[in-house]
Amino acid sequence: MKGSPLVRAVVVFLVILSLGWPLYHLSKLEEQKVATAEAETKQQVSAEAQLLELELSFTREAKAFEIRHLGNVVWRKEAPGLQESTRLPIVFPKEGVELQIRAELEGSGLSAIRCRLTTPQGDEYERSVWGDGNINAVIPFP
Amino acid sequence: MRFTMAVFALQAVGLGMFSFSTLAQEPLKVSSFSTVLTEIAEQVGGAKVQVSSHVAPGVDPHEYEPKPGVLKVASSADVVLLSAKHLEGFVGKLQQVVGPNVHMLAVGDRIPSLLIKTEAGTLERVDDPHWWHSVENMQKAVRIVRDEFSKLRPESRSYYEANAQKYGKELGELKEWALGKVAELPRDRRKLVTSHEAFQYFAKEYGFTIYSVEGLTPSDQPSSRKVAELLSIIRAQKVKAVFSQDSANPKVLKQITAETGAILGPSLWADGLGTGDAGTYSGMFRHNVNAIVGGLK
Repeated sequence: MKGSPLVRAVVVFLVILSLGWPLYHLSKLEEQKVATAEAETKQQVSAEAQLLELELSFTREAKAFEIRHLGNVVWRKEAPGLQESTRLPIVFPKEGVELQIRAELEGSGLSAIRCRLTTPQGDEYERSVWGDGNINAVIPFP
Repeated sequence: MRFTMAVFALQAVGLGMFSFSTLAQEPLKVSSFSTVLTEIAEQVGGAKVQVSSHVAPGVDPHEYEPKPGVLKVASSADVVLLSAKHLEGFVGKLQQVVGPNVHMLAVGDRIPSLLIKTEAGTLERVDDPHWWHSVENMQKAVRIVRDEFSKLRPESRSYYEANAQKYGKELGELKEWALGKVAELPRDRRKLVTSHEAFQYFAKEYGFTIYSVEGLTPSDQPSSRKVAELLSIIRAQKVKAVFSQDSANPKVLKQITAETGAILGPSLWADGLGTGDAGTYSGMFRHNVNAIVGGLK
């Protein structure tokens, strides 16, 4: 290799720089991906922790059953069993929540639905609603 | 002679029975000083009552004064229906004019009261007269009117009972609908800022907190301190809408909306039935619920 040592040093530095930049960029992207994945996992865990557990008991079979929260259907099932359980994607604020339940029941006569709600903090609330024929009720928790 | 006496006696009994049956078939004359009670009387009494309604929809009952013609009609009624809880300031005068033979049924006085401040800054409290904003209170009022009509016309008891049951069922369905509608609103948004304090019974039944600009009647004027307090509450609680009412001046509410960014929601029917679609109890109630939920969502 000929030429001034200064020029050579500059060339070597430029070569290192040209290789280093993409390597740095690639490793940074990898770090970002890892961070995003970690955040997503954390969010998932947090969302799981926020789910409300609901256990339902029917005294009579239903053709259809749905739960609404703030006007939106959050759970619906055709022909549910006499015992059902589900997890609702609802945040439980300090003021509590109201669930509107609608049940289209088989046959006629007085019947009841028992709802047991467990919050992410482990608080349990149990409510029963009665109806003659179909049931359409708003249940406050707590 | 004995035969003639017997014929006379039979004629007298027959005449008496004829008069009694004629009287029994005459509709019960009802004089109503409340738009809400007029509807209840018509629903419960059906074809067997003749209801004279003296307060027109949309008229402020706090300020209403009966004219001589109205007092004359009330004097010839079998029963006078009053909203009560001090809403009718003219009740003493009315009692004097109609006399002891006309029964005055103070419906609201038989319904449990919520208390209300008479003036800002004072501790004096009186019964809140706006009991009909609770559907449960309406159902109680239906039973009170049914019992009164049945007492006055025992032969029509089953007719009144059947009508009251049908109307009571409709009211039950209305309450069910209202609970479902209000459930669309998160509990922390159930803050109701209104012109005057008329919605306590509604607030209790549907879980709202009330903040009112004026006091018991729409003519009460708020102090600047009270307005400042309200501004602070609306900002702190992030209240999205405030509501005027049929018989109130929305000037102060407009000032509040300008300073807080809250919107002025549709006018509410506070003092009885309204006009148009709000001309029935169900229509009035649905209008109010839709306006409140829509405004605060």
